Amino acid sequence: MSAIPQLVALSAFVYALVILVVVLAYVPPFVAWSVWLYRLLLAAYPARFRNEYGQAMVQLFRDTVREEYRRRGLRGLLVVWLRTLADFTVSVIRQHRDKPVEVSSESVLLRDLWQQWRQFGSVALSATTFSAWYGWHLLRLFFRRAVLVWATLTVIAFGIWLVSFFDSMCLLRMRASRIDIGGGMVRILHADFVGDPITEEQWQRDVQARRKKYPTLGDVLQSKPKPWEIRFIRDIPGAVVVQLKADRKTPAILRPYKEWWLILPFFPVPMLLLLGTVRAYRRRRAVSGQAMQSA
Amino acid sequence: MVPLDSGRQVSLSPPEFQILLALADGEKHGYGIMQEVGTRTAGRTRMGPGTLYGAIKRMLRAGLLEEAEERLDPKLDDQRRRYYRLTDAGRRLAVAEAERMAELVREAYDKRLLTKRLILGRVGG
Repeated sequence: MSAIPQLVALSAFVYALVILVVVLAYVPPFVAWSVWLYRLLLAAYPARFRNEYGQAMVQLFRDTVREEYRRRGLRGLLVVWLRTLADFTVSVIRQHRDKPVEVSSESVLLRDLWQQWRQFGSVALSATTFSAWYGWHLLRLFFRRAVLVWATLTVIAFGIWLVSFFDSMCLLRMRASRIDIGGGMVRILHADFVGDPITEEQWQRDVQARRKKYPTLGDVLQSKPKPWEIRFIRDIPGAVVVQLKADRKTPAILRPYKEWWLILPFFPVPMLLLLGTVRAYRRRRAVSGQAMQSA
Repeated sequence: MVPLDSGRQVSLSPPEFQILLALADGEKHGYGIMQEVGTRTAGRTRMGPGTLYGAIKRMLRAGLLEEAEERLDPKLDDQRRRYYRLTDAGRRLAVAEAERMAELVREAYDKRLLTKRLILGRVGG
C-alpha cells in the first residue's frame, strides 16, 4: 500500500499544528498551552514507547520551553516548536518502523492450530472422499462383516497418529516463547524436531548459562549458532526466530499444551468417518435382515 | 561498528555517542543530557525529546545505559526525574568509539587535512 496519502496527511497535520502554534504563541499562558499540545502529539507514538517515555518526554519538553521562553520570549518558543515538530516527525516514523512485532502466545497458538488444520485437514478430507466413494465398495468386497472393526481400528490409529503428531509439532514452541533469555523475550516461530531431547534441567541450565554469558538480548543475537539445542536463524523487531532441536521423546514437562481440548478441532473428520461407517454397517445389516425375513 | 570485549559489534549513531559522552561525567536525566550536548557542541547538535528518548531506549536495550533511581533535581523543580548512567559496557564502547575517532583525526592530520592548531583549537575550545 502506498504511503503517500499518509505522508500527505501527516504533512497537513504538521502544517496545521505550526499554524496553531503560531496562533497560540500569542495567547498566554504559552508554556502550559505548549505542553498541552505536546501531550496531544504524543498520541502519534507507539503505545509502548509512549507509556515508557511519554512522561519523561513531556517533562523534557516543558523544561526546554520554559527555559527558551524565559531567555528569548515568543521567538524562543517558536524556535523550540519548529525544532520539536521536526524531531517529532522523524522520531514518530522511526519508532513506528522499529515497533516490535507483537507475537502473543495466543496468536502463536491460533497460527499453530490453523497450520496444523490446513496440513491435516486436506489429508483427512482426501481420505474421507476416497473412503466415501471407493473405500466402501472395496471394503465390502474384501472384509465383509469385519468392516466395522477395520474402520474403528483405522480411525483410532489415525486419531492417535494425528494427536501425537500435533502434540509434537507444537512441542516447546509455546513454552519457549515464555522464557526470557538474556533480558529479552524469545519468541519461537519455527521449531524443528531433530537431535536429542532436552530435559527441564538442561533447559534451565542453558538459560542460566546464557544469562551469565550474554547479559542482553543484543548479545544473544550476536552469538554464533553454537548451542546444540537452540539455533538462532534470524531476528525481526521484537521477536527472535529460532530453530529448536528436540524430538518426540522430549519430556512431557516441556510440552506447552496441557489443554487436551486443543486437539478437538482435529477430530471431526475421523469421527464423521467412523459414524458414517457405523451407520452404513447398520443399514446394511438391516437390509440383509429384511432380505432374510422376506426369504 | 565498535567491537566490545564479548566480541560483538555495536554501531553507534551520532546522538547515541553524544549521550554516552554526556553521561561519562556521571548520572543525568533527559533534560540534563540535552543541555550538556547543547552546551558542549555550542548549539550545533540539538536533540528533541523523540530523538533523545528513542536513542535512550535503544541503548538501554543494548545494555549500554542503565536507569538510576528517580529523584528530584533541586535546580529545576519539585518533579521527580528519571536518571541514567553508563554501564561498564557503555563506558568501554564510549572509549572505543573515542579512540576510533582519535585515530581518524590522526590519519587526517597525517594526510595534512587538518592542522595541529585546528585540532588543538577545536579540542581546547
